[in-house]
Amino acid sequence: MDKQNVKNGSNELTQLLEEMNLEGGFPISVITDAQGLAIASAAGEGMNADRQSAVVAFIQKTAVQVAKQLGFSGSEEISLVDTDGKHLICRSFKANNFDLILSVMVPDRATSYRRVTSSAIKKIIDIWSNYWK
Amino acid sequence: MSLQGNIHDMSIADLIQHNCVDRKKAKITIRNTNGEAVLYLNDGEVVHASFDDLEGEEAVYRILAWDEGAFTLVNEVDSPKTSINRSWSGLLMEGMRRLDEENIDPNFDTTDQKGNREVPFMAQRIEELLEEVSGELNGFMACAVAGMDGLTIAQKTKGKVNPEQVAAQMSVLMKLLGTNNEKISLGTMEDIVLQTEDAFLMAIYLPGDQAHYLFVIVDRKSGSLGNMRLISKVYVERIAKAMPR
Repeated sequence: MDKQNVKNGSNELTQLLEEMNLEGGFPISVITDAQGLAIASAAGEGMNADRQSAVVAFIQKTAVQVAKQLGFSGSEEISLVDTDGKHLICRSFKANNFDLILSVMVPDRATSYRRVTSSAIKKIIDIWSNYWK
Repeated sequence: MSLQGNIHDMSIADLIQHNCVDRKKAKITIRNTNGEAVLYLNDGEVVHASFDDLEGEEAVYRILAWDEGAFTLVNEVDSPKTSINRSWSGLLMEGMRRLDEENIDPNFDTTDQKGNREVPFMAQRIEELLEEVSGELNGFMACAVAGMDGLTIAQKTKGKVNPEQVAAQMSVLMKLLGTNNEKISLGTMEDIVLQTEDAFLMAIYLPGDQAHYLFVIVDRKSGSLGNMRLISKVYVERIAKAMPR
């Protein structure tokens, strides 16, 4: 049987990211744990999910540290925008008390991401609950 | 456990940052054509460093600019001594400030045509603009124009937020993110937005100037992210015009 057709949590997460990328027009999306390990990813040609995972976790840790030192509570979302309008969005959330980060690359300023990623986060939490209670 | 790598892929600043945030106890040895440097980390801080005949902070500042060489990290190694008492973020800030100073054009002139210094006027004009920013934003907490050395040029605050502390922290964050943008296929950074449970923080580079930025903080309960973005973009242009070039 094709690996992608096996019904398990990992494959469901990957499929969810592929659908989200299609709907949102994102070239890459990754679910990462707090240590920077990619849990699931969907990436177009030339995109490196492992590298994105490591950098995203690094960004998240740094941002949390900065927020704490400034007396603010934990970081929920970070966006990095370049001069071409391309941006990396990192959204933190918990699934069964497990800290996760959904990161997506948004290709330009005209592409919206919030509704699509919010919906994906809800589904990720559901899948997590179903498979890894 | 040990880890090996190349500082071309992961800079020394990144190495320090990453392992201090993880609160590692480790020994990092870095070798290149200049020689061998050793850093010891303990409980989230750099506690000792040596390079050539240098020890402590000066050894760290000397090696921060290295962009070639191999490193080895060995976990759970005790430091033979403590020669550094500054926090890792302070250490990186000071190191970056020194690197910036080394790169400053000595011919840069901040006098106007009559020979008067422009800087006091500039700071006053920027303060006026920041005053306007504070009036435009609901939930305004603080804003400032700062350099990548972490020092503010002008600032405005309401309440408990200390803009100088924010600038110091944001400069570290932006420098470290700036070194990682290419790894994730991003081009030159324009802005960074951080959303916490209680506030929105935005840092936006002055147009065409990766050495200075405007940061704005608004209370999440009464402020709006969209408004903060809009006002920041409008005012960053005005501030750039007020800066001497």
